[in-house]
Amino acid sequence: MPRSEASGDATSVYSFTTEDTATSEELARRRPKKYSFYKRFAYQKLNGWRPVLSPHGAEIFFLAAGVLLLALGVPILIASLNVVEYKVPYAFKGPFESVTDATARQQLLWDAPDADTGLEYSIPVLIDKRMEPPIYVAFELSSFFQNFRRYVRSYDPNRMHDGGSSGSPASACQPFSFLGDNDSLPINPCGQIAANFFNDTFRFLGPGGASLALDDSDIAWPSDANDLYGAVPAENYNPGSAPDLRTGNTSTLLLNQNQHWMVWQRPHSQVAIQKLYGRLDTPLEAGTTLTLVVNNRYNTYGFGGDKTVIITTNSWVGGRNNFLGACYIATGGACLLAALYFLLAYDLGLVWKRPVGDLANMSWLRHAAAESHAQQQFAAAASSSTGAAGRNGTSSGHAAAPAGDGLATATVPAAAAADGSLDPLSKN
Amino acid sequence: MTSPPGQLPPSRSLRVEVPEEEALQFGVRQEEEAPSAHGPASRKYSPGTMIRDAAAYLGLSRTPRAQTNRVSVNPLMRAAGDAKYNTSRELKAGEAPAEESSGGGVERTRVIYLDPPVSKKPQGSEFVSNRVVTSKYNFITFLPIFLLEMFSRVAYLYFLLQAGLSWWSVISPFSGYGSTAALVFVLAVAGIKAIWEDVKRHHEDKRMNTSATQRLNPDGSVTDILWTDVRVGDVIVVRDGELFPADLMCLYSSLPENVCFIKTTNLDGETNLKIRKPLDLKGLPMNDLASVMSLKLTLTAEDANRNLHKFRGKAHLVHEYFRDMPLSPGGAQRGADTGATLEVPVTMNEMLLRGCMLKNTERIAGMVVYTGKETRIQMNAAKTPLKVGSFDLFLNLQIALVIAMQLAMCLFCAIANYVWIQQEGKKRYYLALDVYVQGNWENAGAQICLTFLTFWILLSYLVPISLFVTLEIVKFIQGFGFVNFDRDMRDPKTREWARCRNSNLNEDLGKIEYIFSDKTGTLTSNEMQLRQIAVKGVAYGTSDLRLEEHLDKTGLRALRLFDQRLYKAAARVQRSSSWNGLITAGGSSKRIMAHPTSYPNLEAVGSLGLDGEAASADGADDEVANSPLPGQAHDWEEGSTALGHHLVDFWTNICLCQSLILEKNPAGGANLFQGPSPDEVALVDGARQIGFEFKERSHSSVRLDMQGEEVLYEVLNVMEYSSDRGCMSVIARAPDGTIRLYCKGSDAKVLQKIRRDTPPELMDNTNANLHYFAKQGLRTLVLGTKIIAPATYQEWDRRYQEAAASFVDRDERLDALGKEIEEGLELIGVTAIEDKLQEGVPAAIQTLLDASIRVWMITGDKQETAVNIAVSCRLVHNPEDVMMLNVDEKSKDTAARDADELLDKFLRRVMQLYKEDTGAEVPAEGKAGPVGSVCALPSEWQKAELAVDGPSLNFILADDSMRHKLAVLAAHCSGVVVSRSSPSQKAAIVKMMTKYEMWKAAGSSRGLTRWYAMHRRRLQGKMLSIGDGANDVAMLQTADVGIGIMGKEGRQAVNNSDYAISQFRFLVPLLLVHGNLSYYRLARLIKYSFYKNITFAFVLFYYQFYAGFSGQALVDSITAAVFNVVFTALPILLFSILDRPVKNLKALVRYPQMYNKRGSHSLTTLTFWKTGVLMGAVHGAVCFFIPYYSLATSGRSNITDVYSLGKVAFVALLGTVTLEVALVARYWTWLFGILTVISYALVYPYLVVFPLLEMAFSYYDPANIGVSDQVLSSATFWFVILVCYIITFGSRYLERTAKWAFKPQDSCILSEKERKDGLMRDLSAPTRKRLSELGVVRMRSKAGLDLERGGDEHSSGETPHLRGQHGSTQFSGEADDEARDTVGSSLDVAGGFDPDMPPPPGQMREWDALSGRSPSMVRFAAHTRSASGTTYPLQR
Repeated sequence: MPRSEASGDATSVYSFTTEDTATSEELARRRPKKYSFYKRFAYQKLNGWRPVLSPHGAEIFFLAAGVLLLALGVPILIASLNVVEYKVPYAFKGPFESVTDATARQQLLWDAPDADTGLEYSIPVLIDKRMEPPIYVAFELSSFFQNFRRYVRSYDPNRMHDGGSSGSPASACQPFSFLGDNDSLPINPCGQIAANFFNDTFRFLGPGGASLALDDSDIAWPSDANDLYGAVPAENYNPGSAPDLRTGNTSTLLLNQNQHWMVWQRPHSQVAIQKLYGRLDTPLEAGTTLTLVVNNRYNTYGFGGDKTVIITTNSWVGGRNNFLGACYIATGGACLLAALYFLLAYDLGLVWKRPVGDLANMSWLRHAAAESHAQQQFAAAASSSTGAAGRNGTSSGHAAAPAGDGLATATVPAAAAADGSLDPLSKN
Repeated sequence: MTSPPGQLPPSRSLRVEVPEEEALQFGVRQEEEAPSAHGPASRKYSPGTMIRDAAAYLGLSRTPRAQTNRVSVNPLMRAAGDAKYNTSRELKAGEAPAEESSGGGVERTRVIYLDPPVSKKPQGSEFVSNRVVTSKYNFITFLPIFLLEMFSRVAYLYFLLQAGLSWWSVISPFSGYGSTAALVFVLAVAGIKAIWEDVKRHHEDKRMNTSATQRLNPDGSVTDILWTDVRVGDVIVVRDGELFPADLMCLYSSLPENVCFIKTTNLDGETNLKIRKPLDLKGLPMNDLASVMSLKLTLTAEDANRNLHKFRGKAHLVHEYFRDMPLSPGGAQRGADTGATLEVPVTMNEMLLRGCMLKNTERIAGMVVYTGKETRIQMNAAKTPLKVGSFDLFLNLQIALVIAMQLAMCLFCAIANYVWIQQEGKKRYYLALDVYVQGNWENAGAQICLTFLTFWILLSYLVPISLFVTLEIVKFIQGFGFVNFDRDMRDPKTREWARCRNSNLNEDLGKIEYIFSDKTGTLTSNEMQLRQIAVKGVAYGTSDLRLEEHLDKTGLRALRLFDQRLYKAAARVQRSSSWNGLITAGGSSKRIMAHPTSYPNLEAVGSLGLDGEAASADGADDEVANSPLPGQAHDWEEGSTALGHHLVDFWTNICLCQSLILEKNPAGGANLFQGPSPDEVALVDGARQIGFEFKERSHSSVRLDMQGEEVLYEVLNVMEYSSDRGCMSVIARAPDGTIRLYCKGSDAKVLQKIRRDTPPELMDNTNANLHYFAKQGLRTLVLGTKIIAPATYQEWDRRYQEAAASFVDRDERLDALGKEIEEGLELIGVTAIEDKLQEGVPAAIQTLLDASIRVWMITGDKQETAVNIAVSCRLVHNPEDVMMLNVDEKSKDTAARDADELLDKFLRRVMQLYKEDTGAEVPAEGKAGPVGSVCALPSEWQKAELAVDGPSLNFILADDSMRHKLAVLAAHCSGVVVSRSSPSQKAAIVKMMTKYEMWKAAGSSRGLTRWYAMHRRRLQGKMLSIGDGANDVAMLQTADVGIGIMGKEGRQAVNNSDYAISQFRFLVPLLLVHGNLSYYRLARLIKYSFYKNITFAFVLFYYQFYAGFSGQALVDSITAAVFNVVFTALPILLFSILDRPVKNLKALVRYPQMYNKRGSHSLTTLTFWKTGVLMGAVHGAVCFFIPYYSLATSGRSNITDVYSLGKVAFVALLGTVTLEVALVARYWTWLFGILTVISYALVYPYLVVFPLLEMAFSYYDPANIGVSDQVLSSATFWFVILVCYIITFGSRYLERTAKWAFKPQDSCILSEKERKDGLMRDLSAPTRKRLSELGVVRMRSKAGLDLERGGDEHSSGETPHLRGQHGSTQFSGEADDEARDTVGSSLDVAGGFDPDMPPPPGQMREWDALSGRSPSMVRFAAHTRSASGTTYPLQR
């Protein structure tokens, strides 16, 4: 309604400032006009949207967010719960079961008849739920800090991509840069991660003792094989470079063909590291008993770390991890609670149903209301209002807060101030 | 020898507003505008002293003594006598200036030869060249100097160290590229700014140095040379309108009077012309330029210094001409050896300073004395001490605290790392921690120290490097963009924009607690206008009427406009035959004059002879004689002839008792009055309009035009105004031989001189009038006249002339004689002059007070005037209750004790007031005695009003305890007026209050808490000084923020200010809009910058718990660097430039209470740590732990490696901090919106493209290559960031909404209201008036159009109430502001402002409430109410 009136006015009413000698040109310029962007910027006249945080907006937001989070969180959690996962710890199985001392276990590993083949033993795994392929086989090393800065940093990208032809100093790989600190014998892949390449191997035997095909192709990131590592042969990498404590051999494959190595080479972020090992492409029926044959060579006994084989299916959000789903559901619930809070606190007025945009609630008016309330009480108490009342009216430009604006008298009626019902401070 | 005064060439319109002249001569700048009752002018210079120099150069200094007897009429001539007197007095004090100090042997001098001895090498070479270089760098020196400058700042040095360290790859978790790139970026931005500024200076320098000037060769020819090539000792010829290239001693001027005029605008900003004279050659003729070179002259000058007002030197002249020169007392000394040598003192009067401009003089020749850097202007160019804003102070502390936190975190991590290695790491053979290479040290100390460095670099993100450059950019834009281009702060007349000179202080503008304001030129416009008069105790005229707005009305018509009664009386008498007698007698007869009232009763008429006898005394009075007897007249008032007579007395007094000079109006029309006292100008100007015109001043007479009849009065004696005397008197002989004394001066002084037997009721009425006028803020003067018997006069005059001729105690004797003759005056009347307040000053002050800023007036003017002005600008509301703190300065021994007693008395009174006001007992804490208990009063309680004067301050400021008492007292006063203060006192008061506030804040705390309390206090409630003159400079520099007014008094104040505005009222938008916004924006910028960096750093920190405290960075160095510089820089930059709590910034002026100087949204250490640091830590936790635990999943699509986790956490983090700025933003311009979204969205292309770039550069980085493909293709990633965003944003949104809804800040309610129905609607009448006076809302008027077109130069803001009567006035926000607002207000006009409608009850109440305190408000209300009846004269 008012807009039409405004435009009507605009044609008939000249807007001008009297102070300057207005030429007709300037008058024309002054009428509703569009400044250039720079001027609007300098004059602080850029148009904008003013978000107002209203409880209703918050109710809508939290309701929507809560619903969304629950709608996503429940399927995520269900998917995670539906993942069939078997964890088979094997570090303390087989011959190690009977040895209790960490040093002795370590010694047992080192004393293996053939360091290259290590100690092979098998562990039965009962599959009590049907598993659909692809069934992933991974291993987990507990309490294994693969993310130690010095360990992660011990790396030479160029040497692993093109064999070090670019001649980088590769000092970062130390102490696994050169074989026996001999500059002419560069180790490739160099560095601590490569030197400690995980070398346990796993095999699966089906119920009849038939070997199950464990597909270990394509377990590394394609980008690692394609971009990060070159078709560089391992050099000076085999025994001799690896720490004795680890035992066992390393690799003779070209770097970008050794999937297990590439998986290993990517430093895991967590304390318990999980690395993909292979894939079973045949479904496993419920009740099947698999036999896991482990060739145990990798020494984790020194620091008491367990080693686990994980056989798992994957859902649409990946392997078993209930954290995310739970997180969603908890957050979603909290959002709904937040929506409820505003409903109760604002709409039902449990805290304060503040009228929107009521200037009576401005802080100085609230103070003034409180003050005048106090003063009224005082005036009532002190029946003789000789000096004080007169002075109140006449002095001090700002003690009487409503000064200069109509809103004050309109919105802080004395009665309201007196009974304090308008005063939100009493409620907060 | 003598030039008769009459022969003054009229064309030489001597502009005598050259007050500096005198100061220059004495080398002491008269620092204050000072009391002058003829009047209470802005300056102390009496006309005599002012023109002294002018007269001196005219050769009048040798005017024979006899002549001074009767030429004292013309101020110019009078000055001559004074000049002689003063010169001799001065010489007694200190003889030849240059030698004065030679006794001490300390002062260095330079000797300059006009004709250098042949033996001497070219003398210019021993002095600096005239080349002036203000630029700081050139191509070669830029880099070293700039870098040195930058790295001399601790922050930058710190960042440099950090960047350097990060190149040590063994210990650095990041590669050096990132931090170096960030540092280079920051330096580049600062460098570009520095270059931009320096290029400007280069241009300016080049323009200066290559300007051309002319050198006079020994043969008399001239050569064009560049300014650069000007050498000391050269004689330079400067032509009209040219600038002086160096400091010159003037030797020749082409003007016949041997003077020249200069304009010193560049130097001190004063726009009036000043007079300089060539070296006093004692009459040696200088006919042309070439003859200058024939002089044998040696100048001994003081060494270069920065005193603009004093120069000491002596010129040694050798010429045959001097051989037979008689020695005059005028200052020259015969050289000892030969009669042909003369030594002449050289003062600033002969000096032409670089930067000044020659005006109205064809050409001059001057010898170069100082060049280049040694010129006075360059010596003064020293930078003013740089003030730093409170946020700099704040940041220093917070950075120190954050760094302390960083230190603790690093130390913790370093030790934890060592422990972990010993306990866990050593067991893990694969970590090879038993091999001491590559960041593994055997020595425990080395290990801890170096891992400490690792963490130091890792966590260096805690301190945002980008903040410094962002702050600079934002402050620059705020200051040089928004302040400089605010149309609300643009002077409508001069079209001058506001000017920011130190953008460092932007935030302080939002925290002003005290304003110390100069008065003259700052609050007032220095334009006086006659408003009212009182004749014999009856007041006439109204203070609302502005005669100067009705220039078309003159004579009796103007008088009628002024007051009907006066008109009738005057017209009646004028028509009568007594008119002629009246004016030829110089006023009414003794009896009529003495009559206590202008409305005599019946008997009195007879006794006065108004009916019959008057005819014989004053000529035939037909009218009165023939008119019906007063008793029969139905309206005696109408015929009050006595009033007419008194009126003539009144105006004659005004026209005669003045010391103005007439100047031809260059634009034609009436002559202009020139004088040092604006009051006098106003009075005489008003008199002219009313028909009593001062026509001409000649040698010893003054010609007046009395309503068309010209009369010549012979002026016999003039007794100058002086502050001691407080009045001015003129003795004049009327054509019929009557000798009268006309006296005009301050009420205090003149009322003492009034005849003792004056009827008490007249005195009472007069006092009432004075009070009434003063209450309206009008400056009052009292007029008294006396008829002197010729014999008495003869006798007195003889003694007077004797005294005037003496050199001993001349002033004292003249004063005594003046007092003697001035005794027994007849009280004529009172004048009331408005020292026109600047436009909108009361509104501005009211607004500032509403913003709970305390406004103090500190002025050099006298106390009564100061209080009056304070009343009219609504600083003081009860002038009668003001506590006047002034002691008699004369009684020095008891004065200090008196002051102390007064202070105690007032302190007790303040407590009494408090008790009356609140009913509460004064809190009894603190020391006993008044000060202790007054200190305990709540500091918001301010009721009393205080006026202090300078002399009392002298005693008070000298004593610590009294100073403290004064501060306590003043702190509880709502209005404080300090008068007659010197510049240093002005500064001392500012200092005193700063100290007091510190003391109060510190309370009884000790040690560190005391330090912190004071630190906190320093960030709140700032002191602001505002002034326009050189006398305010000290005050401006002492205060936290100094505001200069670009006014009439020059540029001294502006040059020493931090911000310059052209009118006082612009202070309101400057503080309320710019200050508020700058604070709002900068506070959030600081908090947010820390927040985002701390969030980032904490993500890195949390990971250490899972990585063996090894310092493994979750995010690679490039990504970390771009996080700061690219991804998060723009949103907060734009936020801090564009954001605002309400859209319509005028609302900040409408609701001044929003100016919340100690409010809840202040940036304090607590809020900083809560919403900056703690929130950062929490959000960092969310962004780290949720990804960390969510990603741990086995299977094909795992993104569990360090690098992927880093990417996920990074994206979560980036979104979180971007959402935070989006949530905090209250104003979404498209610029901000788009760039915020882009800044965030940019991370995805970055993730994809950056590895490709790395590969393209053959850098096979496992941290990036392939990682983003894996991450982005993983559903988990998207789920993780979504939940992170909802948690961080949601929790903040919850918190903010809850606060908004249940503990709203004022700005929240305002923006709701703005959304609902606009903020500039529903303006109540007083608000509307106030806003339009401030120029914040402009008016639209249909009917007003023709008026405006009619050339009315007064702004709309000035006369809103007049316009209001048209009934069609509309106020609105600006056109482009908000259409709804406009409509709102126009509707509102119909509802609330229409005079035909009664105001709504609410407004009624408001008026009533207001009526008690502000008279003008009541008047305003009354007008609006009475407008329908059109009783108010509507002149248009």
